[in-house]
Amino acid sequence: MSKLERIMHIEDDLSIQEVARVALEIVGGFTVKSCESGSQGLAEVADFNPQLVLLDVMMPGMDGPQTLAELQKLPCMTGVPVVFMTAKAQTQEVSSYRELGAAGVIIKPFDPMTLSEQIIEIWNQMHA
Amino acid sequence: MKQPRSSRLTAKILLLILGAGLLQVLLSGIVTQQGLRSDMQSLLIEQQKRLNGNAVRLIERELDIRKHFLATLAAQQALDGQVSYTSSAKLIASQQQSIDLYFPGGVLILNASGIAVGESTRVEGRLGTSYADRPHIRQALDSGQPGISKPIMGRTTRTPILSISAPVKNAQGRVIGLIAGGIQLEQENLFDVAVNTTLGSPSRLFVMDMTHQMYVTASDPELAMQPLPDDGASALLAKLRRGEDMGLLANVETGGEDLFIADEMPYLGWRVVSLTPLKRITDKLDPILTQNLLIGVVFFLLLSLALVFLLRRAMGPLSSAAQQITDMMEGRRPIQPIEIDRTDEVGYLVSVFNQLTQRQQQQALELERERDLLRSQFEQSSDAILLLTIDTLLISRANPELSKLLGYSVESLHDLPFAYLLEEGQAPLPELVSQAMTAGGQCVIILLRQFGGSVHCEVTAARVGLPGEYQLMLNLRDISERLRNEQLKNDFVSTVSHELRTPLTSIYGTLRLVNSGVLDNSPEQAASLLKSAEDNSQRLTALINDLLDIDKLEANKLQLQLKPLDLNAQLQAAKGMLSSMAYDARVDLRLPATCTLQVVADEHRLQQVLANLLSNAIKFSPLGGIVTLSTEQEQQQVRVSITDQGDGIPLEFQPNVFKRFAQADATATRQRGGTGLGLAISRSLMRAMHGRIGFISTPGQGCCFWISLPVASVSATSAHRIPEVLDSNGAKAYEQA
Repeated sequence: MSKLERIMHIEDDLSIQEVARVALEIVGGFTVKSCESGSQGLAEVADFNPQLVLLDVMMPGMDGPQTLAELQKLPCMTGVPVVFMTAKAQTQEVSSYRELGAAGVIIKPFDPMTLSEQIIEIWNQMHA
Repeated sequence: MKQPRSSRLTAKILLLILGAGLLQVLLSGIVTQQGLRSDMQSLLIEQQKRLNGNAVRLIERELDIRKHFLATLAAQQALDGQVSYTSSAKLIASQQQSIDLYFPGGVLILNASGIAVGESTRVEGRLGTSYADRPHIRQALDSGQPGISKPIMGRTTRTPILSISAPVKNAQGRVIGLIAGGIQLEQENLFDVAVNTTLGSPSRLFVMDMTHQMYVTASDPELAMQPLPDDGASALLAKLRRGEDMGLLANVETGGEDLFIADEMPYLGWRVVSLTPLKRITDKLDPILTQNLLIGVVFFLLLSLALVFLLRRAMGPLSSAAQQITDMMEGRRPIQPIEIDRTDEVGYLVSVFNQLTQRQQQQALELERERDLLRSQFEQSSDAILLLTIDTLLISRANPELSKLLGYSVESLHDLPFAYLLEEGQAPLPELVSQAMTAGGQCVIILLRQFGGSVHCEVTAARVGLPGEYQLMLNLRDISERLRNEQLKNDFVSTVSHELRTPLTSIYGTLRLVNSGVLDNSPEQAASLLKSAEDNSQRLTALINDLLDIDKLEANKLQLQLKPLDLNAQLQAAKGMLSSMAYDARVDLRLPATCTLQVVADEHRLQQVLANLLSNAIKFSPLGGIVTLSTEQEQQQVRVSITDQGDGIPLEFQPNVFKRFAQADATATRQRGGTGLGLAISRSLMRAMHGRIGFISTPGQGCCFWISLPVASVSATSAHRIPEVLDSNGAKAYEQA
């Protein structure tokens, strides 16, 4: 099992994007690529070649599920887990994200000090 | 239906009573006749017996009369002191008339030697003849006592006679002669008198000397002196010899019966027997019995007439009541109480019928009310109701609401299989019905509309009707709107949750990072994050305020202070409040004209609406764009318009502009600020202030939002809502009252 190093974070809210980036880079030690929209993520995913994608659900233009669907079509995304990060945290909504193929769901507001641990746990579960 | 007639009952009662009466008359007639016949027969027999006794006494009396007569003659003869031819002739001559009366057979006077010396009827050779050898003569001469002989044959007449003798005694008591009178038994039947005077002609009389076993005489004189037949030849003699003195004998000649009665003459020892035809007795009964029968028949007829009269009188009202009931049943007269003035059983029956009718009318009325109520509920129910045949699940009846719900006409729903209306993919109909029929059970089914689309219905089912004709009644409640509202509510909660969690994520994350010290070495990054957290705090506060406003507005708890406001001052204040934002956005905010009107509004809330519209206009204006505030009086209203030069509102989004959290581009919420609730709140506030709000927008050509408020000089006019109108330029205009 390879070590998780590169994470792409697609989030339209810049303040959240910044908090997450600090949590992942400084606290978690990951290499993070932040994108403001799904289309930006799709455009840069091949170059960045992430090991895991952290994806916001509610986004203008292409929302999280649409972005996931498009990502799943890309060869470079084969085997790459996508974790939704969302403030829409009702039970049926969380269930629907999993049904779409999400490896995990992280609920906003998240704890930046334990965000990395949450992601690693999901990563480990994926590769167990 | 064949109606029972009281006349039939009358006929039955009449027949019964008259039949019983007739039977009684017949039976009583028979019994009476038998009793009468028996009694009368006994009476007549007694009478006959009495008559027979009378006859016996009469004969005895006749004989006694003659005996005394002879004794008188003997006494007269004795006066002569001798019995001679001369004295005899003299005596006879003096008593000739009496002698002829009592002794038509003549009187013979004998001397003491028994020689005939005198006779009342001349018989050749009799005088001088001695009769001393005749036993009864001898006995009379010897005994000196009067007597009556047994029937004997006359010596010279050669006819049977009965001889009565009386001795003639002298003063010394010596018998000096004898006077004997003969009664011709064949010719001078003195018994005929007895028979004719007592027994009547149809009777026959026999005088029998049972000692000498011979007839003394009889109604038939030829029997005189005839020997009595033996028992075998005569049933009568057989009975008499057995000692019977009364009885019946068969009469061979008449074919009937004869009554025989026998009495004994005590002096002579003869038996006097009368034979009377029984028919003669019973003939006397017939008139009595006939009369009795006639009385019975007349009584019966009178009774029948009385019965007919009484029954007609008694049953007449019943017949009338029955006719009235028939008329009611056949609709010839309204159902109403039958009037009757009777207190007997008929009156009671009609009274009970009236009570029953009244009760049935009340029940029918109640039933009709219930039926009307049910029909009304069925026809006017806000729920769709239908009846299904229990076996085939065909629609037997549907109410207008179902027709309205699905688009089918009520007629076309009739006999339609209910399964035809079900959207595919649901449980089988019987299972759904069973689920809906369980106690408290409800299920949701999806029905197809005739012209496309479907509707969610909550179903309750019940079995209705009578045994053998049960049906299923389904009550369908359209819950599509409820489901939509629930969905909207869920969406709202979800959206609010999202909108709250999103800024909170930034705030919490920043604080957590700063407090953990991981940014101690990156103060600039920490400052940037804190600035974002502060912005998100303000955003969170604004969102909470907006939510509170929404809640108050929806609950009608928002308190407004409506008062006349100087519109120009309000516009200037709003312009001043947003001038800083406009400056930052490089937008030129203009208010070209001065308005002198006053409007009625709540100052704080008017400013909130103007700020919302102006901030939206500024946010969506391009750099260097112009936002214009203008006013226009429209009769008793003032319209304030805020026009920008932005991209306008996409056509597909225009219907949703005033909905909560509705933004054509969600990015605007975060990139351009705002909670997504501003326009929804503004619409509610304008409604509360009796104003209106709307917009006109052509994509690519900017947007004009406007509000309309009542002028202060007039009372607030009632607002009306025009959801969508076209402006003069042909662009779609949206107006919210």
